[in-house]
Amino acid sequence: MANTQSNEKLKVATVWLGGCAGCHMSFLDIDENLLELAKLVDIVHSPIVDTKEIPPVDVGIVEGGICNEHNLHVLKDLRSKAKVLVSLGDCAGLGCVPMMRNLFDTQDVLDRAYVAGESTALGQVPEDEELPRLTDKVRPIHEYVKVDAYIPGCPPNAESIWKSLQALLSGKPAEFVKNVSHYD
Amino acid sequence: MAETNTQEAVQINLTINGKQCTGTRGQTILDVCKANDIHVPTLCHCEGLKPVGGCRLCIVEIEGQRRLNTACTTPATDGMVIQTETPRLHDLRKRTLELLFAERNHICPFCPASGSCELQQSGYDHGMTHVRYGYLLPRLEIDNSHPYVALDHNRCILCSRCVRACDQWVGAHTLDLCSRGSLTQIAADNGVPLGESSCVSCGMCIEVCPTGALFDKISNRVIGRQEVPSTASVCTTCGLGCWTSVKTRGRSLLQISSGKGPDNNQIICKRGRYEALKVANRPALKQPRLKKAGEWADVEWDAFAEELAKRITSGKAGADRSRVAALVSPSLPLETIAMVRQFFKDVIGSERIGWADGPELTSVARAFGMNGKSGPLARMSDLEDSDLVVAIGVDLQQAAPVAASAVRRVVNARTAQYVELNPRLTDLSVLSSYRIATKPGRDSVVLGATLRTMVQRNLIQANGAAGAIDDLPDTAEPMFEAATGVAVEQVVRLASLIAGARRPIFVIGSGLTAQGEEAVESVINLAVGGNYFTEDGRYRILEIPRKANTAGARLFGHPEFTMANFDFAKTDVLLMFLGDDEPIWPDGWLEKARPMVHVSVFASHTQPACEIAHSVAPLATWAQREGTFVSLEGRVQKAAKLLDLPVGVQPDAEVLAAIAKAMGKSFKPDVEANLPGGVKVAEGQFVPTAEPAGQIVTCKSKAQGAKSRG
Repeated sequence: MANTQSNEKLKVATVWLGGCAGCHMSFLDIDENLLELAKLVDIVHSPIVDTKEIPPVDVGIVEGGICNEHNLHVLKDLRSKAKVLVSLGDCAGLGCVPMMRNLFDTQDVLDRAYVAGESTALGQVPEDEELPRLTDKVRPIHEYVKVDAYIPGCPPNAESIWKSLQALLSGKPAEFVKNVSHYD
Repeated sequence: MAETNTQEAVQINLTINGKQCTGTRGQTILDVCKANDIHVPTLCHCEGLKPVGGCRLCIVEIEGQRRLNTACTTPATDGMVIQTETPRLHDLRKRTLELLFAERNHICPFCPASGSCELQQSGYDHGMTHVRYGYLLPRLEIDNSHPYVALDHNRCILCSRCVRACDQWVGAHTLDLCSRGSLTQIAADNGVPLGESSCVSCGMCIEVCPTGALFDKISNRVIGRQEVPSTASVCTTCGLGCWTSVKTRGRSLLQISSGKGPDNNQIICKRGRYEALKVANRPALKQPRLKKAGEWADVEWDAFAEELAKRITSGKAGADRSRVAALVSPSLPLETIAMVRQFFKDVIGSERIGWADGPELTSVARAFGMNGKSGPLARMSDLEDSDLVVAIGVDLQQAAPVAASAVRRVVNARTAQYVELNPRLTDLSVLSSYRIATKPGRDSVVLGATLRTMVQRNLIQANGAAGAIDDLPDTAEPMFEAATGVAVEQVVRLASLIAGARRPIFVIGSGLTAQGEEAVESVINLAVGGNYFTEDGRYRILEIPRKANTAGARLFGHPEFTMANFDFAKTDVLLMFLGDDEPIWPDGWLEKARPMVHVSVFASHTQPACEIAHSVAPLATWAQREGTFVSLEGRVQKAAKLLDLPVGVQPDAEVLAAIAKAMGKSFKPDVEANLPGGVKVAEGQFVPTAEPAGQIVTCKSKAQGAKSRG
């Protein structure tokens, strides 16, 4: 990040795609380092920031894989607006739990959830043009767009998130942190 | 499993990563690297299994060779210059890993192996953060049909470690690879579900699986991803005494795995892995019980001891203490047995201490003239070394599954043939090149006639009193076939098979040995007559006893009696000290014991003997006490104490002391003094063996005054 020297803070956007929000939770788990981070960046778009559109940012952070058309739309939007795109967590980077859906037919999965559920009576699969359609397969984000850095983990632990962010914010590549990063 | 290298080791010198390393000719590059503390990543390699070079993770650069070579399969040669860590190798290995992840559905957070997975660890070691290849996302089955083993093809990397372990260690060859290319899969038998296959449930495939493709349905649930330390012990489910490694938490046993011992006995079986685990975790007796008016009532230890003391000291038993008898199970450790014997002699004043075991405990001891020593019997290594295995009256897969694996290995390797004498089909019958269904109880006649045939037809030079041959059973006798169920031609075939072998081994089990001393002698006669001895002078006879410490029990001197010749009429009070799950021998025995004045059962769990008992006292389970066991090979081994005793259960010594106190006496156990002399060798060593006989023994020679060996 070239402009860490200046006083202007870096702009960061985070998005939550096909994931459980656990990665965002783990992000908050960096605890007192949040204060440190706040000195360096402005989070301008996030599930916890009330904005509709993603503004142009220096760093875009993605939690979750691509499960539906909306996920893909948001991912492409962020990619086009972020200088650096970071994959946070296993769903975004490796596929992880949502990828287990790939073991079944999409229609079977929908039926299981909305029609054949034990507590469901007269259920039907919701259908509306407002609702995003499921993609045929769940895939990690780098199968769709270029990703600049990866922080693996389900969720990534706070230490690996903080170390990776520190590296990125000082202009270095975020690498696999030995003995800290993990896939589970 | 051991491959002994008789050639003299030739030293070779190599340069690995610029470091001067030495190895010996015959080693692979990987062997040399390991010996020189150079880490080379591997996935399909597994110590003790033949390398296949399948995963390509151990590729190395060898100077002068354009191609990359797999360290696990390439022989190290003198003067080699090798690089194991270059950027090119690192990159290729990382790509290989990514291809493995892309090929199947690896979802770490959902996998029981996560944290101990070798594929995952390799990913970490190579800094893999994502997979650059598109996932193939195949739809694969999960085979959950087996009671203990689950096979999830989604996590399989086709390293073939399970296939090789199943074949090269277990000899079952249930698992193999089917289909080709990316469609290749692990298959059981001809593609049947694992639960319906020929699987022997030993679980070795789980132990060698580098990922979570094969996992333990019993233990994974309780261990999860926590690191649990393990304790080295020995298995006490049969006489083989395999080495184990056991994980525990609190008062429960989590997992039993194969352990490393001084020999090559590196596998365990279904009984050792799963059944022993079940026994240890099953609800056990926690308090003494007394039967009052046909109803069981839990009582305190004092009340139990008083009741038992009263029975011992009153009535006919009180007047004549020889009317108090003990039956001690040879599945208990020697220390417990020694204490009970001391207690009986010193406190009760009765010498009537017998064994809760079948008649073979006595018949084998007498026939081999053990007299407090171990029998001059064959060991497992002799089985691996044989070219003919003759199993007589034993279903090895049931009696000692790890020995069955040894038979499978030599038969599969075509270094030995397997011949079976058994009235019933066994699990190994399919392996047999010849089998004879002898009528029950007639083995000694058939074996005697076989020896006679061998000599009469000049198939062997008779050894040891050739004259005695004429006293052996003769196939020419008119009723031979009717009596034995065996035709003359069958005896001739068996005779020629044995005579044609250079190193036959006779594996005998309770089906033969329970027939009595004469039946055992007929096998000894074969070994003597054919001169079938090991190099150090032991018979090429391997006995498979029924219980873990049968060999240890025989060290206490000539056994007084077993359940087989127990004198019910002379007994008023019977104390039974039993192991965890004791089948009572033979059927109907308990009914005969029912009329006794008092039967007291000391055992860890409620079991059939408790049904006829008047009092029951809890003992430790196999996992709750340490102790010495003597394996069927005669090796002294220590089982570790793995779990603490639950509240209410007393150590063996205190149980006996409580009864002594109620009798107004004191009991100070002196285990050292009461252990048989033979076991006072270092742990892992063999107890001294008796001298083998040089004579053929027949009924007639015995009648003429030739002493039985006993």
